[in-house]
Parts: sequence; C-alpha cells; structure tokens
Amino acid sequence: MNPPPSVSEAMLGAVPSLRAFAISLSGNVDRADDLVQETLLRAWANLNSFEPGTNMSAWLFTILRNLFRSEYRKRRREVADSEGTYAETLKTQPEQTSRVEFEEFRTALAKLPADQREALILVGASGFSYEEAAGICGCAVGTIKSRVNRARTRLAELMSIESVDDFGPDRELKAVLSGSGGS
Amino acid sequence: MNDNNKPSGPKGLMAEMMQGSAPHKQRKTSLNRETQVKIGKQLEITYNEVVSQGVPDRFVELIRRLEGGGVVDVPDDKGS
Repeated sequence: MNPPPSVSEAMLGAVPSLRAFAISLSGNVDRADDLVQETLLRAWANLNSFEPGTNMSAWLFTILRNLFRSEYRKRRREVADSEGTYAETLKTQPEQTSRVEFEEFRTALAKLPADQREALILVGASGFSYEEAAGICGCAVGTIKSRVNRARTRLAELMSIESVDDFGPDRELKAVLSGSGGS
Repeated sequence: MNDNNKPSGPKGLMAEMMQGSAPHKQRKTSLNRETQVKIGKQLEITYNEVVSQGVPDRFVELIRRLEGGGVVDVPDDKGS
C-alpha cells in the first residue's frame, strides 16, 4: 500500500532542515546525508505509526535523532572531526557578518555539549516550540529550556572570551610586525 | 553628636557599593544582549546555509523509488 503523494511530498519538504539538523549533530556532511537517507527509509517503513495530521517534520526529526544517538554510541571513538568538516559544508561566506565573527561562532558551537547544541538548534534554528523539541528529544520541557539557556550562556562566554583572545596576541603580533620596522 | 554619621556612613557605603556594582552589572547585561542577538543571527545563518541547498537529487530519487515500490539498496547493515 502506497501512502498518498502528500506524504512523500511532506517528507521531501522536510529534507533541507533534516540535513541542517543532521549536520549540526554529526558535524559531517556525508554522515549527515546518510543519516537523512536512513531516516527516510525508516519513516517509510513505519508510516503506519505516523498519525496523520500531526507534525511530519517533528516525527522525522525524532527518528533522525534516535538514529544518530544509537549510531553515536557505537562510534564514539571516531567522533572528533566536527570542526573542519563543518567548515567544508559552509564554503559560501555569509555576507552579513564578518568572517571572524562567523568562525568564532562555529568554533563555539562545536564546543557545546551535544545535548545543549541539539536543543539550541531545534528551538533557535529549526523553529520548533519547546514542547515539540522536548518530544523530539524525549525529555521534559523544562530540561529543553535549561539546555537552551545553558547553551546560550556558554556560547556567549566562549564568544566573548575568544574575541578577547583574538585581540591580545593579534595586537602584539601586529605591534611586533609593524614596530620592528621593515626588516 | 556623631549621630549624623551613623545613618549616612553605612548608607554612603551601601550607595557606593550599589553604584559600584550596578553599572558593572548593566554593562555585562547589555554585552550579553548584544552577544545574544549575534548568536541568534549566526545560528540562523549557519542553519539556513544548509537549508538553502534544497533537496539533493539523491533524496528525490530515493522517494521516487520508494513510491515505485522498488527495492532500495541500503548502504548500511550489509557488512562489507
């Protein structure tokens, strides 16, 4: 029995944000795309457990997150590359902000504990409500709220620390370079 | 007759302490707010960067094959 076309369209429609979420979880585009594929296959095979009229996107996010979590536990050892590969994904330089600011943000985001990053992405970027995010992560609404708050605080700390760091050595270096007088 | 000093002493100290800490706190808060706006913006940019890539062909093909009832090779679980 095939699902109505609207179901497959809804699944395809969710793909771009599923990818964005998967990349933020895994830090790697190829793995993220594999995760999305696996998610779609699982979803298709379990369409009877989807309740029509409920949020398809949230359902798919839940499947993806669970897949990632079980895979993550298996592969814990080789999960260290979230920085470089994320940079690869985002080759296009965003116009509206400075490069430094963007780099700073990405680095800080990668340093967050996984559950905080996940909560922040779901609520702050994917546009889910706290309730939906709690459903996706299988935890209490209050837990999501505190994870988001801690994520924001930590990011703010990391970003201001990093900009201070940026200034210190950089300024010194510049002073050395310019102060020493052309060779 | 140092009565005058009694209230004004501690009060002055209190005021000084509060003045001393209040602007500090305020500065910290507004810095945070600025950073929070920055974080929100960066989060959006980072996320939308991927979203704007749309749906890669492989997923369109995957769904079409599933719709057609075709067998889909799952790269997983095959051992290899």
